[in-house]
Amino acid sequence: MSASRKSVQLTLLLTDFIILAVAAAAVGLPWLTEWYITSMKRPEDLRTVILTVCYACLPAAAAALYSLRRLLKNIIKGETFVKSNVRHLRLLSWYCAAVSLITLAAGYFYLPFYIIGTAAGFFMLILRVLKNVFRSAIEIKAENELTI
Amino acid sequence: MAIIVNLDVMMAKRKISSGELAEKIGITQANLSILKTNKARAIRFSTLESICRVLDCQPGDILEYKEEE
Repeated sequence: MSASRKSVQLTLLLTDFIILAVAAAAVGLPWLTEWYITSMKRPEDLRTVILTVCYACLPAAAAALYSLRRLLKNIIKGETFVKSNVRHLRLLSWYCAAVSLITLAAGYFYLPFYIIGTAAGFFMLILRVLKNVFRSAIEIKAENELTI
Repeated sequence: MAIIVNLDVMMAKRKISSGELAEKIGITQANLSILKTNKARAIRFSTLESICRVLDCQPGDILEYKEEE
């Protein structure tokens, strides 16, 4: 097995682990929030803000992890520069944009959300660049395949 | 595409099969088929040179420009 294939499979394994972690966090979020508020001595009304923001971001996070998994599966199959990967990267960027917007809006109520919002926005930008790179690579690949 | 590959005509004139031509110019039959069916986006000078050498013709005998409608 080549090193690059091993690396992709390790990433897939990590993605699966994160999917499980997100699922566990989704179930245990009320208790996690409670623990955070009591141990860090935060105001009680912050509980609703954190729960609302996290549950609002959850569908986008789940969809992003699903797209990431599909993307990695395609790479393992040897289908790297294909149109469906461009679609997955585009979707990933939109999910990051959604999380960014939600958390930036929530930053008004709790400042640390601004950090998450900015990071998600930055990821969105990187993914959009990567998507454009993949699109160009597909065109070059087609051109190359049809040059005799 | 405005450039037409008239390889079939030249092959018929020289009475050479696709398999034989592909072997002599060193490309696969699948790639030769792409050329013959005008699906190719580009042709390397080395390929064109081999075709001209094997078929004993000029590039103009194989490639033709037709204005697109």
